Amino acid sequence: MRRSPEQTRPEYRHLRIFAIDPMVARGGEHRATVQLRFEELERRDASFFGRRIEVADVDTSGQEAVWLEPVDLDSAHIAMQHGLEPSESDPQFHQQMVYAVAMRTLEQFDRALGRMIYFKSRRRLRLVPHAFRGANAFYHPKLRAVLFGYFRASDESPGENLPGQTIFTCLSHDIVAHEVTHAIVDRLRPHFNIATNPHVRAFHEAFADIVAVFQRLTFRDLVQQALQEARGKLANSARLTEIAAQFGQGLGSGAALRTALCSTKRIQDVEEEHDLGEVLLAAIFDGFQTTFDRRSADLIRIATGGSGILPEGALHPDLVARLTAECVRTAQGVLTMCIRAFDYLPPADVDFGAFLRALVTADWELNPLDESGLRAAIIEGCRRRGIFAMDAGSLAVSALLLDSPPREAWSDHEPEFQKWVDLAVQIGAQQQRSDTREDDDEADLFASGERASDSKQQAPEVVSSGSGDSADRDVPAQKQLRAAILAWFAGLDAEKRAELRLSAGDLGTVGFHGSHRVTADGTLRFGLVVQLVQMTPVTLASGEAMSFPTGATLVIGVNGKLRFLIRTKAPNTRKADLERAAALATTNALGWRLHGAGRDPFAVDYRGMHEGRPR
Amino acid sequence: MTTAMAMSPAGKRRIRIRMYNVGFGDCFLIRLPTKDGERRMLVDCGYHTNGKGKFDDRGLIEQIKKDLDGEGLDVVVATHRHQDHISGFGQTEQWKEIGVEEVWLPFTAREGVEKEEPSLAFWNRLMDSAHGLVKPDGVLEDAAAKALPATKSSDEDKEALAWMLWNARTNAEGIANLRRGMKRADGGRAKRRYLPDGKKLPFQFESPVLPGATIHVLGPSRDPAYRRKKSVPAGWGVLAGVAPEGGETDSLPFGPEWRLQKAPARPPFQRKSIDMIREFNGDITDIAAATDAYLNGESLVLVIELGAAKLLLTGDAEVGAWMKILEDADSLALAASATFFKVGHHGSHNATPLVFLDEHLAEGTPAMMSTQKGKGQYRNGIPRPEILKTFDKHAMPYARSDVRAEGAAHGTFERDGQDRWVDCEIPC
Repeated sequence: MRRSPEQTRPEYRHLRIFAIDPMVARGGEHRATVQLRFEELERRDASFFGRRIEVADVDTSGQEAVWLEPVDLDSAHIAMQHGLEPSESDPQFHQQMVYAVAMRTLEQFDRALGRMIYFKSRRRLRLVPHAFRGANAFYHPKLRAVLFGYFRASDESPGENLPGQTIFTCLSHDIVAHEVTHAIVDRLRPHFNIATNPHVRAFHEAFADIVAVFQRLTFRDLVQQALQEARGKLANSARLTEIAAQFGQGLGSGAALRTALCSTKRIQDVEEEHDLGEVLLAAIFDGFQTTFDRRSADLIRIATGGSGILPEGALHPDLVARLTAECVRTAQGVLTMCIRAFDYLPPADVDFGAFLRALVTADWELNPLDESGLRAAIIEGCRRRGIFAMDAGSLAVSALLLDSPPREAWSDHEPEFQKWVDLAVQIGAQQQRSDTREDDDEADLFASGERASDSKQQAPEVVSSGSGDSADRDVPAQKQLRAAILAWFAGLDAEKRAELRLSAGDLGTVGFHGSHRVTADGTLRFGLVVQLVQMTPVTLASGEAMSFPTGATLVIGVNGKLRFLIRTKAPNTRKADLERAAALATTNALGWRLHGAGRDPFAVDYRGMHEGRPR
Repeated sequence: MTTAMAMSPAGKRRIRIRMYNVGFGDCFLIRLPTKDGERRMLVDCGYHTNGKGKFDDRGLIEQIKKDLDGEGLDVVVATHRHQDHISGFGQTEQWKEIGVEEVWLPFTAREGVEKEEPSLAFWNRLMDSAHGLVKPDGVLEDAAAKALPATKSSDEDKEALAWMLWNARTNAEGIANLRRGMKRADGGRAKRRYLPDGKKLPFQFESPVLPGATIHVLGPSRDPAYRRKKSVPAGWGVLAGVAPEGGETDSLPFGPEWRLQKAPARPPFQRKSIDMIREFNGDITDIAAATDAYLNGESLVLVIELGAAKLLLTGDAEVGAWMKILEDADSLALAASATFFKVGHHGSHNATPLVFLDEHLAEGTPAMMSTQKGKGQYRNGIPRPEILKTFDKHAMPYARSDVRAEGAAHGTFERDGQDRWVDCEIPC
């Protein structure tokens, strides 16, 4: 509420986007207006940026790099109409679209996790909407950038595109959300870019698809029209279930890149990583659909006088509006539940079972009764596709909940843990007070060189959310907490270290962030999540000497109690997985390293994963 | 000495040129009657494994040795590093038996040249990659087939990709032999010339091994812009059915009105980052095509002047190299005064500007074209019918290595009974 005429800073910024790929639904409602928390944007000669995202429009496809003029979203003429009109031929709209979708995606994570997600070292993620010519878009960790390509649609079978039309990957909501999710996942769990079992890459892909699909299902206008056309049946609406339709058709395959619906396969029946990813996506979507159908059944009954059989012709708009509300609410619920699982994932070597347990635990902590049945429906969707948690024993919620370690095992450490929680509370406060924008530069980009997964790295890497990794950007409490964790670890005996899947060496990575959760009785509880990781050497059957991450995520309560201990699998049981992952390793799309010594069989190659290839 | 060679009328000095039928490739043996007697020059020695002619590498060298009849070669020219021009140079054991006085290579083939021109490192790396993506027998490795985008994954696409990648495979033995291996008849080290030996084109020199001859170098340019892939300009003549090619700044999706007019003062990406992003352009086919064009673009383009004769040898020079020649009055005058024309790049659409034939080269100039008609996207339209028609239009006798030419006056040429070569004589 304004208290003086000077107070004109808006709460929100509204920007228009294409909600589905522009060529797929020329006739229908394919645009949406997203509402973002307002942030100041700064505009330079070749980019504009807020605190977390920078849009830099450089096209490298010609002989010389060409810079495109950055849009001024604060210009009164643009702002007063909720951003530029969606258009394929306006590159500044493209810039607006990638900014809007990326921010929307980040805000999903902020809301679900209860904290602002910053990228590594508090540096901005750069979005390059027309980076290169090619049927691909990918997150590039070293450049801290998401690069979007553009390409000519197939001349022979362009689907709903015009033959030879230019297709911009940056105009696909799904692709933007998907790629930005990769960047966020890489931020939250940097060791997930080491594919130590076949599920790791598949999880990266599936999770990015989950965010893209369910975020799109929260665009009310789009959903309303699609449900009207599909007479209330989600499964009848390709528009709601297909992923990157224009991209896929433009490639000449005659179909969307993927669909959330397609797979009734079980994970035991597929091996390839994209196929595995589709199974997880399908399982989650199955749970969503079951829940939506159940939630909407009463509405259909009311509308049909109890018969549940819809009459011929168009549905009543009020009914469609109510169905839309249920769909959006359920989609948002699924999305939040999936994101919230992150605090309960192991720091590395994720598999679908671990994700299922994390998801169930995160949801149970918030919502033990599961009145909507969503949790149960997702568990059922997973069961149908053979996704189990091997160590959980059964698919009962009580079995799927993560184990709490026996209290006495860690009770001696509780005073120390409690000190950490206190520091974490201080970090939050100190950060909010010093929440200023830093100037970004590229100076360290080539100096540091190594990937986060590189076993050669010496100093412990800090993955603390909400602030920088480099000490100079840390608030004082952060430095204290890191020092406290390292000192504590140094004094830990071999037995306790083994319980954390760690050994005598130094820690490779320390990560921590405070967590907030509202318990079933409505009280706000504070806590702390700590990730500890070491790199362990292994020699593969091929003779290659590699290293892989081991460690644990500690979920600590406000009183210092170790509530959950989520560990990577025991090193001696992982050899087979490592061999399998190495054998499956996708080669770099252009073979740069095919015959080179630098080939890394565990590397998650974001570029290779996204090349528009025939399947 | 073969019958064809012996047939030249006595008293009149003639340059004798033998074009071997190597299939899709180039190999020319040129005998120059200098004031100090006959001197011999071999221009290229290779063929494409998927387009073989009458020889394999070993058989080709054996034939050259037989034709040399115990003499050595005064000059070996490798116009550029494509396999279909240098595969035979990898037969190092056989080459030990042939004395070579001088070896001429494009400056881009010099060891360590990346220090002078860093962008060459990029192309050399692409050649390295090509090596790993196609097997020695010309079959694509799985990784390369998988890297094809869905829009370009038909069998023909695969065949075309394999064609380009195989041709760009690094021929390490051949290159080493050219750079360091070949020895003079007296056992000494053959002299190497990396051309042009300076920035200015045309570059001119004389060699003691070709007394009385003047060599004019018309390409490759030291300016990399003339060695990259370029579309065929509209004014170059009728090229019906050739689709416009992309990859140039003027085909960017957004016009100049959207672009910054000058380089940004505070660019969010530094030069190095931009170069990193640049490498993501195009798919494997685009990159193979760019490498293919680039390697052709490094072709040595020579005019060998001896007496009244001027032999225009173009290697596989493409659009950029020809632009350079057409732009420069001296180069154009030299090329236009040629009395013999080695047709570039097997007669492809982008290696012979029709405007050059129509307006510059003298009527009746004889031409030779080492080529092989064949299936597949890459060879589709090679040799380009418009070029052959233009030869006929200007009464230019021409010989193809692969088939007996029809129609025009071909008295200048003598074909081996088994189609293993075609001979030609040029007065000098």
